Amino acid sequence: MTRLRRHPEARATELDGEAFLVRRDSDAILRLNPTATALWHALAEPATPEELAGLFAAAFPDVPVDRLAADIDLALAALRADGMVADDPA
Amino acid sequence: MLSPRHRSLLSPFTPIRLCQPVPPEIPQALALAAPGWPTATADDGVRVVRTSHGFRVSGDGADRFADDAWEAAHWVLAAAIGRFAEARSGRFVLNAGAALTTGGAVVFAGESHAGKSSVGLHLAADGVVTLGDDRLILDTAASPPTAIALGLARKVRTPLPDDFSDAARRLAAATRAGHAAGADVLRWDTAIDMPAGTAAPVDRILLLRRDPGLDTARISGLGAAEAVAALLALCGRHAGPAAALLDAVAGLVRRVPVQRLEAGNSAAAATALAGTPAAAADR
Repeated sequence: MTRLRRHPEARATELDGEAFLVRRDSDAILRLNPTATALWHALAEPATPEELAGLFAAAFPDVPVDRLAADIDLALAALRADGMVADDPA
Repeated sequence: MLSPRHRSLLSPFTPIRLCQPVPPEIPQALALAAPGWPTATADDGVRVVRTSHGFRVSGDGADRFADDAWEAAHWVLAAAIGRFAEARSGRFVLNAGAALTTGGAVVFAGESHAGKSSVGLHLAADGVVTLGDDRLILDTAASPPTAIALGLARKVRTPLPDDFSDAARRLAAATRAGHAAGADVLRWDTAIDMPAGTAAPVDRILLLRRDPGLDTARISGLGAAEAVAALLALCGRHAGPAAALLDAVAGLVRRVPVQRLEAGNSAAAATALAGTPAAAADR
């Protein structure tokens, strides 16, 4: 399974537990909600969607795993669409 | 009213630069639209050329066609404002006006139709000195952050809404200097309209929201992330890439209170804006 990583040109500005992501080489600014901000933190190291879902399942044991996985896939798709995450070549 | 220590004129402030030859209607339209911003001719300024359908405006980041001189002046101004904003790191254009108080500039920001011009008219009717009612430059590299006037004419959409105060109605009628794009352009008043380059420290920023159901105006605090998101949506041209704009806006929000001003009408919003110190509002 492909690991994902933060795009090297992306950086975050955090305020009140929420992050704004921006690429140094583009005009897009993306606002993350607290959950997506946590996902961004988790991507400090390259990870697969399954690994990320596992992390979140441990952090939120009361939330059904299927729902967590779907939310993570959605957030990753948005991050990827704006070029904030990319496949890890390693 | 503003004490002298709270404002300064950036000197020399760059005039609007037009390449010769300039169609004669353009300086006339600029004098109406931006009476507080001088013009000059320059080899590397904005070029306005008459076409079969109107004018073409190019230079300083602009390349637009305009149907008439008023629209051409609008694009000339957009280019000049952009040039000034982009000249220094930390600057950006904000869709906002500002009232000058003893504490500094109380910036009122909002999208088109949020009521900035209406609030500006009510402030003017009360004799409040303003830095503008439509667009400002915010300089976040300055310490403290400053709001900079652009010398644009006050405008008000017509017909005026029923809930305008009598004083505001009288002022609009007495100072009408022209009409363009559905709005009356009001005569420049050096007693209350500050020329381009007038800078004042930002005391606070109020995001305008009209709520016809409110009997009294309400000022409430905003979270930092919410404030940044709201301001980013109101920003125009800026110095540097998007990352620099984000830094500038986030830095501003860390140093200046950003609040939401909700009011049923512009008269109530203007009264609340001019009369409520930042410390008394709910942050």
